[in-house]
Amino acid sequence: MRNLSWNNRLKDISLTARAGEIVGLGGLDGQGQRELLLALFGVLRSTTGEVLIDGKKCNLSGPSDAKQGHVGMALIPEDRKTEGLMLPMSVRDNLSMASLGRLSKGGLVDRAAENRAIDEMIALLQIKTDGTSVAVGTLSGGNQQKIVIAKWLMTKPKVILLNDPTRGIDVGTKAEIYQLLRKLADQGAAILFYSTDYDELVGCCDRVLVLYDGAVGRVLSGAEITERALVSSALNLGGGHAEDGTPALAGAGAAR
Amino acid sequence: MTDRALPVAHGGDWRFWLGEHRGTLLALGVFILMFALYTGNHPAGFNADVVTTAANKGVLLALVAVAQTFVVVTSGIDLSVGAIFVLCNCVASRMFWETGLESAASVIIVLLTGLACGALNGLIVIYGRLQPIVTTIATGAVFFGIALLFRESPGGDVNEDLADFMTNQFPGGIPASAVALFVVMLVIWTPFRRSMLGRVVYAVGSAEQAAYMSGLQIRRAKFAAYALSGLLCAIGGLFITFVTYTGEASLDNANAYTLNSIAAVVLGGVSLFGGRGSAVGAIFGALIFRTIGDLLFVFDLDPLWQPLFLGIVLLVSVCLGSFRLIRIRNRLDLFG
Repeated sequence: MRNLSWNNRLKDISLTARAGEIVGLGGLDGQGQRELLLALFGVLRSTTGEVLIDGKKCNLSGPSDAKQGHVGMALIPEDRKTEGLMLPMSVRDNLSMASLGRLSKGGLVDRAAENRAIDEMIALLQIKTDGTSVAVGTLSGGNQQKIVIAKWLMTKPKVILLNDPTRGIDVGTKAEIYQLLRKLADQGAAILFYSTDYDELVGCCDRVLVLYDGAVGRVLSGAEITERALVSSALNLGGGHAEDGTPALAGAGAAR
Repeated sequence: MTDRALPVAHGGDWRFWLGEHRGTLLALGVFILMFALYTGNHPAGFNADVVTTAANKGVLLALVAVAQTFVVVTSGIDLSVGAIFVLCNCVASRMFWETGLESAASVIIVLLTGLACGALNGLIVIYGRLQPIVTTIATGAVFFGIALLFRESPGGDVNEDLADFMTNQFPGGIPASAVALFVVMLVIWTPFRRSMLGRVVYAVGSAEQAAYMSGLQIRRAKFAAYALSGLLCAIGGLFITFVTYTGEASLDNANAYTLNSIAAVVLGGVSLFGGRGSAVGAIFGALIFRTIGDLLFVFDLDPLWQPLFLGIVLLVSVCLGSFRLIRIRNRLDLFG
């Protein structure tokens, strides 16, 4: 992505995510992370700059463009209850919703292929449900979030955007999601991961872009990603730079 | 977090199936009960002629109710169904029905008229971003105006052989209109429900934002729902032409069919909030609605009582649907 801007909320952001890499988005909540992900997914109007996938320029005019095979993007949205799921509808309907195109032949849904894909996802993510016809609204928060992730994995995405996917779910499921992200990256997906939880960014990401006021404040990579560095750059303080050299920071760096 | 793979039922067990189709099954049960009561008390008893007459009346409302279902499932409402129905009736009465070829062309033109009306509704709702209720009040008035242009006074004619065939009975006393309705459902509703398009229509009605974020073609789905609604109205319009042999731009008819179709949809367990319910339920809802009127007739009640009685039945049935609220323990859920 090059020079992406949108109104006054996103200012000239450039970033690269390679296959196999988990890139984190950090910073205080509301510094443009959500807008950045939406812009990439084609939801925002009149963005400037360009998005390149495999070196090819993409003009995305919405989620339906973004999930096409040659783009292969998936966005795990922030609010699963309004943007991620149709709560009264069944587990089956929700899971196959994003990949209906793949599961249909001549406009008709191929139930056998659908069942196979759903079985695969339920096993992969260990979703706990009484069957595929129960309403998604009856599942626990963690399992609902797994359904959101699973429905996007069914599209076989190459670029996965996650908007705070572990909000409001239990610790066990969080850990499963971290492992899953790493596994997906190892299988060749490029992952852009926004989280409000600094520990997650420290633990999961290869690089972290800290956003401040709609622009990239700092890029941290490898051992530089520490809670202290994340917090200080999120607050746009000068501190926490490697050359800063305070003993506390050196200690934190060494701990990693 | 164990590693065991969980066995997952695909059809779901019968409880879930029952839950999903409760509205439809309830409507079916009530209809069978009422129809048994009706034929049991009919002076002629249960015979093919009684059933055929009832079917001919019921199928008209059933077709319009199916049309309404398509739109209601998207969480919209179509107040122009009655007007499209009447317009198609008037168009049909202006067509030429002499030869087989002419008749076939006439049928196609009538169907296309309905399809175009529905498509217009869809385009306005999607691209004009207007509320479906406002849009269809306006277009309904327009469609009725056009119907008046076609037929200032009742009249016209239709291929009577075809009309008699469609409103009569097959060997064995099976009403042709019921068979026609069955075929229409088999050709339109079943593929719709199994198609990708159908899934998207239900998703749009259930949570439009989530449907959009899933990269679904929500415009296409809504358009299809409105267009199919128009098509079903046109089939209904054809049928009333077969039943009456004439066309009539009757405002009473248009309004009655519009409102009764909504009642039928509700009786059939289709949620007005969208995303839930089936056209099969709506058909039984329509049949229930018609049978109520017939029941009043066999029990020799004054026909003037009919609107009052229908209203009470509708209220009671809607109240039955609210019974689940009594079981809610968290008062906050009452608003959800």
